[in-house]
Amino acid sequence: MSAREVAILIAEDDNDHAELIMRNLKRAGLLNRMIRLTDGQQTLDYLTGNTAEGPPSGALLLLLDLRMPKVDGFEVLKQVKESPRLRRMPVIVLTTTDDPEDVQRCHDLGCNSFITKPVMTDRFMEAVTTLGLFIKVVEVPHLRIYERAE
Amino acid sequence: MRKPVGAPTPPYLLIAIFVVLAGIIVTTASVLYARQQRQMKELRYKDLQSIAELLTSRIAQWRGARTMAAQSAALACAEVYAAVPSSASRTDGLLRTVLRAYVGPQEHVAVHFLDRRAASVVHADSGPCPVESVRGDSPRLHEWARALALSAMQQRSAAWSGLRANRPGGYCLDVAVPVAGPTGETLGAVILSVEVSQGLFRLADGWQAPTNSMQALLIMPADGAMVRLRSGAVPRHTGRRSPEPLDERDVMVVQAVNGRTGHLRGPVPQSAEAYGHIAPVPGSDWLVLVREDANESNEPARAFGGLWITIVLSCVAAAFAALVAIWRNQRAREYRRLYESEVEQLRAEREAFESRSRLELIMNTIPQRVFWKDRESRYLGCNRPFAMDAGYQNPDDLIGRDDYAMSWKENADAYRRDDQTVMQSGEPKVGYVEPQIRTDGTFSWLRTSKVPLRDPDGKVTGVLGTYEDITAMVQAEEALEQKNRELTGVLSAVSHDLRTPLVSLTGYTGEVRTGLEELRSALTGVPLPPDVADRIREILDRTMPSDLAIIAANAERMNKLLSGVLTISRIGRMELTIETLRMNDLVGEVAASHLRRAQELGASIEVGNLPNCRGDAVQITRVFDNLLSNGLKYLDPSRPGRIRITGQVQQGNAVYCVEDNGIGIRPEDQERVFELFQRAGQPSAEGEGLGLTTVRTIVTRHGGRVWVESSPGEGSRFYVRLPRRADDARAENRSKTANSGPGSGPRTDR
Repeated sequence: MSAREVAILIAEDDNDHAELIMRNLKRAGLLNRMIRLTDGQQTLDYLTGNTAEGPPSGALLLLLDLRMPKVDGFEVLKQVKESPRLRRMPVIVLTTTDDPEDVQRCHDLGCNSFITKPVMTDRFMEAVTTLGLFIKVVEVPHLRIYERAE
Repeated sequence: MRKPVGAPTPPYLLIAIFVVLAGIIVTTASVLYARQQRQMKELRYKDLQSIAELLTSRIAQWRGARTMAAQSAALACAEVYAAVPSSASRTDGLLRTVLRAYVGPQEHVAVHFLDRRAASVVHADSGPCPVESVRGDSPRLHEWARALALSAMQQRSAAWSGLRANRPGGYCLDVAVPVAGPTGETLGAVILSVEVSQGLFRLADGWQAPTNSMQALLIMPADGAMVRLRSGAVPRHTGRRSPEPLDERDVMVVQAVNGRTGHLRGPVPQSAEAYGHIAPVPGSDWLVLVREDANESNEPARAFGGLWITIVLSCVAAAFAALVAIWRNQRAREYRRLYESEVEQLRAEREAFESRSRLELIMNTIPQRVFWKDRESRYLGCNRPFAMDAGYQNPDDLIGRDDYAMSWKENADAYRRDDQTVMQSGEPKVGYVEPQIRTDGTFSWLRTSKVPLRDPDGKVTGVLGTYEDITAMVQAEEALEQKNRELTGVLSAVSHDLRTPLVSLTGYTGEVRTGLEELRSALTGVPLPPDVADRIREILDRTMPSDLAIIAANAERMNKLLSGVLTISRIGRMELTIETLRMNDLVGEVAASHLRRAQELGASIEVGNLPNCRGDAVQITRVFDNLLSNGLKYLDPSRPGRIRITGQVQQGNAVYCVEDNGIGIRPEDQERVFELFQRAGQPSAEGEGLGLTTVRTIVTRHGGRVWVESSPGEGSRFYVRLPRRADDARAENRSKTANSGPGSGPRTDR
């Protein structure tokens, strides 16, 4: 299995940000499938298969914004890391806040990486590019469908 | 309630003084009176004596004269008888001539010539003075006459008999002389009798008694008779001239008869008592008694004594009056004192009442609840607010109850535990917060203090508790905390929400720049009309990059402002770990971290000896980090920079000063430098304008204060005051000996 098969979930309520992230990821050379999720609830629904499409299959990577309507990123992170099926899915928190408390909390909840959205264009590009490279090289485990039952 | 201050005591001292004074006065008076009496008596006796002596001398004189005359007459008669026989007829004539020559014609005289055996009368010229008594037919010669005649004849000289009563009221004197013949033989004796009564009485009448009560008596003991001489009480010429028999009842007369002479005093028949003097009449056995009624003679003395008595009585009366006055005065003073003490007591009671009621008023008015319990935690009393908390109107209703009988019975165990702790340890427990369930079931927070109650011996008898209801405060604090949380949340959310578009802004600016680069490279080598090419090159190479740079710079600035807001709000939320900070080490490290930058600027950093303080190491480090970088930032380029950090202890606090010789701050900006995003009118200087705001926020959170003193063009002094504990001083001493200098050793000292 190659890294290209990994689907990247972008949980981001802001359309502009999502577009920007996707554009930069692509520019960095990522050809992965990207799935846009607009809020925490939708993210959880997608991950647990609570949709018309059913549960996702294959390897996933979650780019998670913390501040989202309905269910925030902390809750999503918490549920993901508490779920035996989703636990091993890499979660990269990509958010605007740089509050140390938030950073600490995310690490405590088990996030794999925490990236603050830089405002400076160059730094943002750099970060997203790094992220792209990271995603390219990282070995993302497949989610097993049968575990969906729990 | 009111005790008598003391009944008025009798003036014992005054009474004693009075008694002594009265005694002295009475004694003196009586002594004087007695002396007066004695003097009066002496005087009286002297008077009586002189009168008596006068009388005796007069009587003696008279008696002598009469005796002499009688004797002479008797001798002449004897010579007549010797010469002329008694039988001769001319004898009588001769005798009368002789008698007339010697004896006055008024006096009764009798001559008797007795024979030589004195047995019979040979011849007589008899008068009222017979020598014979006629008994039966023959006269009989009196024995006294015979003895007298024989005595004269034997002695051959004259012999006298005493005064003899010859008839009622008459006295006579008898003298006998012998009759001798020519040859010397005894022929017989002549007895001449002369009645002397009239002369005696004349003599007595010649004496005038000086007082009515004075009396003179001529006493003739041999005759058993006395003659009362004239006295004031006896009228003249009463005719009672006969001698009286001696009165046996008359003590003085008896004393005189018994031979007593001189001063006498004693009872007399006429009066109770008399003074008297008895004197003998010379040449006879007669006595003269002169006496005077003692009472009458005492009159002047009594009058005199009366004066004394009056004086004494006056003195006594005056003394008594004075005594009474003094006593009344003393009574008045005592009443006054009693009254004053009553008034004082009333005032004290009133004051006590007022202070008690004031205390009650205070106790019942203050918001604090006050109560006191005995050793078994039963209520002994409380103030009204406490009673209200317990659901009672009257504080007295609680007396004797315990906490299990109260609405807060669920808290009672905890309350009792505290009571016992305080009573057993004897140490107050002050200012702790505990819950309380009220009668309406609501829940209150109390800040309670309990102190042990002690009796005068210091034994703990109970516990006094006070508390105030801080429920509102606790709720307010909670509300404030909630608001704070909300505010922080809002700040955080807002800054996030503000950042979101900012991220888009910068992100898409970058996209545009990327697009611009691509466009420029795409156009490279593409032939274009010269005017168009210049125009496009102008836009692509200058205008657009410049515009994009402006957008990016402003986005970046916006980002920094938001970061600042977030930082400040984060500092406000951060928990502090307060400990004793060894500031020499802490500031030394901060200074060391700025040393490179200072060297670049050609500036020096000096750190003096700094006192320790209490604070959060991270935050306080941040304070001095900010102050130092602030100082370095605003140095004056025209002179070598110098930053000095000093510290001292003031009123139990540590005060540090970060002093620079930089450009200084204008007075109107000195307060604003601590405000958010203010940069002291130096927009050109780098920085977010957050440093001093951060400093103030941190210092304020530590309970300290930061302020600045500055002179533009000379420099600024930033002062930081931080709390400090008494034992920090000891820590300093330890750190001085334990550490060689700043930068080495541990940062904090616990």
